[in-house]
Parts: sequence; C-alpha cells; structure tokens
Amino acid sequence: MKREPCSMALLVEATRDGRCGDRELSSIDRHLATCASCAELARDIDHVRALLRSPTATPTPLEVQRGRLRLLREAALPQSPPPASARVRPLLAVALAIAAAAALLFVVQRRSVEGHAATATLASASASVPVRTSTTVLPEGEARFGRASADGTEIVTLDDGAIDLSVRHLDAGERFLVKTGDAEVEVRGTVFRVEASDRHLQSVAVVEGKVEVRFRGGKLLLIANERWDRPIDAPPIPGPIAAAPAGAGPRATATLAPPPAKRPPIKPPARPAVDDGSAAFVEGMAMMERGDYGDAARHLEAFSKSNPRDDRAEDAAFLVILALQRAGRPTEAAAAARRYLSTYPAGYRRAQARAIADAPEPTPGER
Amino acid sequence: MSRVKSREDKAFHGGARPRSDASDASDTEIFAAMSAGNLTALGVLYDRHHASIRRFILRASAGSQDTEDLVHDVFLTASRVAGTYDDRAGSRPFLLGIAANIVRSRRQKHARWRVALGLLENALTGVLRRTPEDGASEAEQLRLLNVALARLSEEKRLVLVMIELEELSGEEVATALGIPVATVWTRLHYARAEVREHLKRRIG
Repeated sequence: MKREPCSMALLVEATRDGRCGDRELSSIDRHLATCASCAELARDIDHVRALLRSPTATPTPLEVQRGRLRLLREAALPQSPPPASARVRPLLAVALAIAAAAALLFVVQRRSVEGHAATATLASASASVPVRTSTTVLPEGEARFGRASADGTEIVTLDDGAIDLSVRHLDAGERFLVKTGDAEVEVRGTVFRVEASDRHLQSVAVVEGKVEVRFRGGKLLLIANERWDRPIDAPPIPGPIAAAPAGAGPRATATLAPPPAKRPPIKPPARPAVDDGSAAFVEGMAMMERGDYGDAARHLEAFSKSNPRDDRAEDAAFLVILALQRAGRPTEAAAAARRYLSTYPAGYRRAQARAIADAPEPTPGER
Repeated sequence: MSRVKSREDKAFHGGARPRSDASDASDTEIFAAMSAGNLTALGVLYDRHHASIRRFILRASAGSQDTEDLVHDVFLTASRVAGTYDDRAGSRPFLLGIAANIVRSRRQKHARWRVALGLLENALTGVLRRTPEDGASEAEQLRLLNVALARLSEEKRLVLVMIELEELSGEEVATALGIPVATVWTRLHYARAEVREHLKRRIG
C-alpha cells in the first residue's frame, strides 16, 4: 500500500471520522491550510462520502408494499425443513402424519362450518390467517376484522385498520369479498391491501390482479399498481352497507388519476328531489348503527316492501336478515333470507342468504 | 346476549379488539414481539428500516441487481433470529450486521461469476471512458465509485459503507461485524486509500 506523504494524514482521517477533540481539530485545520497533500486527502474523503450518500433509486410505495407483503407471507410460512437424511426421515414421517391428520380435521371442520352461516371468525393482530391453502390475510397493527365463509363465498369484514390479502385464483362459483361498513371490494385471484377506519373504507391498493370497489353506489375496477383512496369530501355513511339513493341514474364509474389527493372520487349519484321512502331507509340504517337491530329490521323491511323498484331495496332486504341475526332472532332471519331469495333469485347476496336460509334451527339452548 | 348473537357479532366484528398503534413501540419491543412470532412487528420493523437497509445493500454489494431479494433476506433472517437481539447494541447495527453477513454469503456464492464480470467491467470501462466530459459527470463518478467499491475486499467495503453511508460509530461497526474497533479504523483507512487511488486513476 502506498504510504501517505504526510505524517498528519492519519489525524486528518481521524478528524473526518469524529475521533478527535476540539484541540486536534483546530490544529488540523491550521495544518490543512498549509499542507496541500492533506488538504487533498480531506477533500477526497468528503467527495467519496458525498458520492456514497448520493441518492439511490428508491422503490415506489407500491413496490415497497409488495416487498412488505412478500416478506410477511414468507415469514408466516413454517421454516423449510432441513435436507432429507436418514436422521430426519423419522421426524419427517411424523410431521407428514400430523399434517395429514390436520388436513383431515380441517376438511371435517370445514364441512361442519359450511352448514352454518357466517361462522368462521378470526381476528388477530399477530398472525397470518390462512383463508385457504394459498390465501392469506395479514393484519397490520391490531386491525379488527372478521371472516365469514358460506356456500363458496368468503367474506372478510374489516372494521378498523389495514389488512394485506393474497387471494388464490378462485374456481367458478367461488367469491371473495372484503366488506367495510360502507363499501365492498370483490376480488378474483389477486394481491391487495385494504384500509378502513371505524368501519369506513379508506383505501384499496392492488399489487396483482383485479379488484372491484363498490362504494356509495359507484363501482370502480382497479388493476395492478392502481390505488383508490376515499374521497376527502365523502362523509361516513351510517350502517353496514351503503346503497345508491333511490331513483339514481346510471351508477358512476370513476377513473384513476396518478396522485391520490387529486384523484376524482367515485361520485354517488345525486339524490332525487322527491324523497320516496329514503327516510325509512336512512332511519333503518341509523338504527343498525346504534345497535337497535329489531327496529332496524322493521324499518328496512318496510322500506324494501314499499320501494321494490328502488336500488336500495335489495340491500335493505339483505340488511333485514343481518339485523334479525344480530337481534338474536335466527328463525326470523332464516325466514327473511328465504323471502330475499324468492324476491331476488339472482340477487347479489344470494349465496349468503341461501346459507342463512338453510342453516339448521338452533336448539333452545342456543337462542 | 344470546350465543347466536354473540357468534354473529364476533363473525362481523372480529372479536372487537381495541386497536393500538404498534408503530409506537420501541425497536426492543418490536424484536421481543417478533421473537414471539408476531408478524405485525416484523411489518413495523420493515417499515422503519427497509430504506436504510436497501441503501446499505446497494452500496455494500456495489450495485447488485438483486438488492430487493437481499433486503427481503435481511428481514426474514431478522425475524428468525429476533430472540438474539441485544438492545444494548441498537437495532441498526443489528440489522446491518445481518445485512453484512448476507452480502458476504452472496459474494461467496457468486465468486466465480464476479471474477468474470470484473474482467468484463474493466474491459468495458476502458472502452467506454472516452471524453473528459464523461469523466467529470456525476453519473460517471458514481459508476466509477461502484467499480471501486466492487474492487475492495468485502471487509473493507462493509466498513467503509457502514461508516460513511450509514454513519455508524466505530464501536457500532465493531459490534455489527464482530471485530475490534481498531480493526475498523485500519480497514477504513485502507478502503479510503484504495477508492481514492481508483478514482484518481480513472478520472485522471
């Protein structure tokens, strides 16, 4: 290695590294004024430091999100087993036996679960929740969510916080939805993230695949690398499912613009000038929000019957089912589900309604 | 509340656990939670440090094309060895130490290819560097810096990047790399000298 020409060179480096006191610093400063070699060394150190610290290419927020999701997905998996060898084969055989037993148990439990409506419930801030073999729901923070599965439809209900989802490609007839109090997100084989606050949808970001966001009567299809943010001017809507107002024109379909703040919101159709029963609907939703499920069911049913051509009638009919369930009246909920199915045989929530209608009668002890 | 209602409520509200902000937790709490298998904690750690780790790996691996994979490996490794975290050393030296090991191990795996690519790089550098303007441009200097970093030994490069880019102290670098502090300063001195020499030779 070439020797530094000046004996003070090491001290120059030390000052640049913050290893010297004030006295040495002032001494070196004086030396730098007179020693060209050391002055060049100091400049070179600063230059290399500046080059090293020059900005590097930074990933986009979506790329970061994708990396984060990949990390959490992989970390959720059990660690790879060691290479097969004579020593580990017995352990592997035991593990396979346990896995087979667990798979068998899962199948048995699943059959039992699918006979009931909305039974699968998981909420964890700390663990991966496998929906199925290759579908994962990863909560961030203490996200509050629940999951219901019935009749080929999986529903994740997000109350608060953010969840990252990776949904396997669904077979024909299967559906996967994320619901908040005021919106729905439906997917088919995709990787995406949903955020909600106090049961109100805040944002949806798609990493892979497509999702459809249904919010306040509007629909929006998001593809990979697109994101939807709740419009700043969108007030929270009471009740679990917001539907388009009565008499609305064609449902709005928004397009995306690059910056979230400037993105045009999904505009709800304008409210009709004449209130043809909206009060009953709004009142029913407000009652749902307050937890007054019995009265909510009555109001919503009245609305549904008196406004059969209203866009919200189907939602109201389905909400009656939920309200009766929450009111602890499963028999009436099943009857409401049957009414829903007869009125809306091709209804959007027919799968959930059918599951509730077909649910076995609870025994008196369960009521 | 009936059992049916309770079950229904639970299904729709996910247990109604109060939300708390994990991002307020200290790194020590984060590592403790990670060692208990808490994936949320790993997500928070990633949010806090991924940019710094990515930048470090980019420089420490001299512009590697698989930076994202290496960043991924750092956090995956951190989640698996979280139980060994010692908060006296601090989280950045801990993570950078893991990153340094991963960069080293990658370098060992790709040693043969590196030699071949290094020869190609030298040949290309000679062909492409033609004009004084090119030599003076910042992009060119950055490229030359990457070449200079690639020519350094792994140990010298890691020390140089940890000190100059990540601004770790000598003691923190010593902890991260498991070497004496005096060795840190020695390696830093030689790393600087070699980078300076390379840049001067190339830029002229």
